[in-house]
Amino acid sequence: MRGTSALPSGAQALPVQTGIGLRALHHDDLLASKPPIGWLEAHSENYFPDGGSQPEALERLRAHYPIALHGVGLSLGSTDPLSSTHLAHLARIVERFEPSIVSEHLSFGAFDGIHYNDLLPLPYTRECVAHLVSRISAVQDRLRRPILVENASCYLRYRADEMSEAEFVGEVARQAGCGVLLDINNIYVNARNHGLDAQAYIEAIPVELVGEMHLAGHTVNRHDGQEILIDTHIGAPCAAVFALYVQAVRRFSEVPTLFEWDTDVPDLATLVAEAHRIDRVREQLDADAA
Amino acid sequence: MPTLRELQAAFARALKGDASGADAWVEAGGFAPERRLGIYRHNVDAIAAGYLRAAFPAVTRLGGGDYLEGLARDYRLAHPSRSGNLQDFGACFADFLAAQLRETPYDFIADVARLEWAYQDVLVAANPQTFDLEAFLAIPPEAHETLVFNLAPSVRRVASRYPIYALWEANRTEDAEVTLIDLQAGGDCLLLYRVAGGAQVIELDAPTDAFVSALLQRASLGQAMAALEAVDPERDPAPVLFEFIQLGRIDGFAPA
Repeated sequence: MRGTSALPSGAQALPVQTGIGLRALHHDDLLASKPPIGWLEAHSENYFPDGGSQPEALERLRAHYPIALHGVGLSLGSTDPLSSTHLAHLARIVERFEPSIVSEHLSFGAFDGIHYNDLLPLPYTRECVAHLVSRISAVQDRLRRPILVENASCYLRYRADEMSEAEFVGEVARQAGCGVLLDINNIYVNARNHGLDAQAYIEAIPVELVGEMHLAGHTVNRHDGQEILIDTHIGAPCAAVFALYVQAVRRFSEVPTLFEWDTDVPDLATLVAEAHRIDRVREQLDADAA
Repeated sequence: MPTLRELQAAFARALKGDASGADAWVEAGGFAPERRLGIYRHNVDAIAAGYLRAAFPAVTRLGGGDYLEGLARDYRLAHPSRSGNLQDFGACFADFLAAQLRETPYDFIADVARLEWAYQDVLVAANPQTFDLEAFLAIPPEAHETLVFNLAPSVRRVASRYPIYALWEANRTEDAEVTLIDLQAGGDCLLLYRVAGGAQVIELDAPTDAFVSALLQRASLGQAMAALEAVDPERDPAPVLFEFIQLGRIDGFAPA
């Protein structure tokens, strides 16, 4: 499973290049300048409404760039019933925009009908694996295509955990028949927050499961002499995250990477320059390996 | 060991700030469990505040300082999000502010919020149908008054006893110059609708407002025209109707 192995007709495969997150404030600039970037990742929920300029812009952009749809609100891990309304919206935009990849998060965001619109942590238990497998299968059946699931950043761990996070992610993907969107910054954040071995985490994820990688910046907060890393998607990835990314590229090689910057979003030129910097690193690694 | 459902119930209580019991199920590891849960509570508040700042820029500026940060938790607890899509989260914000600011000198801010929400709503409303002029012209003129005309999905009407359009225009951008606005300068009756690339806001005169208000209540054309003429007997309603059709504010019709 590489995420794009079962592409519906009409969808373009993502190139093994760096894409950028699509934000409405860049629509006009992207359409006017069409910079040379590998692909665009749009937040699914932003394109749920049928009307207005957002879906029109995405229609025009997908004529120039391959598109991925990345959801933040399906709440795969919630014990509430899967929202048929949300899923219907998602199915509609998947059909309309024919994305190369559809992805969601390994987290929950709703309980008892109330949505917190955040990526809340799940316990790494067998019960939770089974729950996610059932929900992901339902989503894949509805969309008639495999999805990727992203490892989330976490600021706590549960005493109930029965396996490591890497084992949890791999087991969910293997049983559900989906792929993994491996967020390198989230691995680093969790490793630092919980004293894990980030390199071992990457080595524990089966190569064949990974269909996409995410790369982003984070924020270091300090309280009473203790530090905690928050996944803020601000700025370029730090050197340590980049080093981990280099390890991931060596292991997973042929997968596209997304550079995310969602807080204090800069101008398009800055995003494109950072995407190109990541591409150059990958190209150098490819050259070294040849 | 709690079930997944029990764990999520406790987590949800913690996000509301209630005694949750969730801390007993969280590893400490350097930070107290309650503090770790507090990070998520803070994040959820920050997400709500960030959303409100983006959707209500003029309210943010009029409130000043950290006004919305202070309100975000109260708002999300009073009107929790019911969707994984945050776009609908601001639907009750104007009513929430109206209750908060009732009988204070700042009650006008609730009406500015109503205008800002309508503006947001217009931007994402469904696209209009194409008005079938041929079908309309095929109907005998004497039957026109029995028809019910549909306002396009993006059309919204907002009215206030305050000059909300001037307040909104002067405060929409963070770095706008400070403008003094006389709150007693008279109210506004506004029509919002989508145009290419954005939304248009226009002021409605009293006869047109009567006409639009009738259409919004699904009155027939005859009833809407009568409402207009009741305000201004000299005014010909036909140009109003055709302007609305021409500009896409009316996108269809049906028998009464």
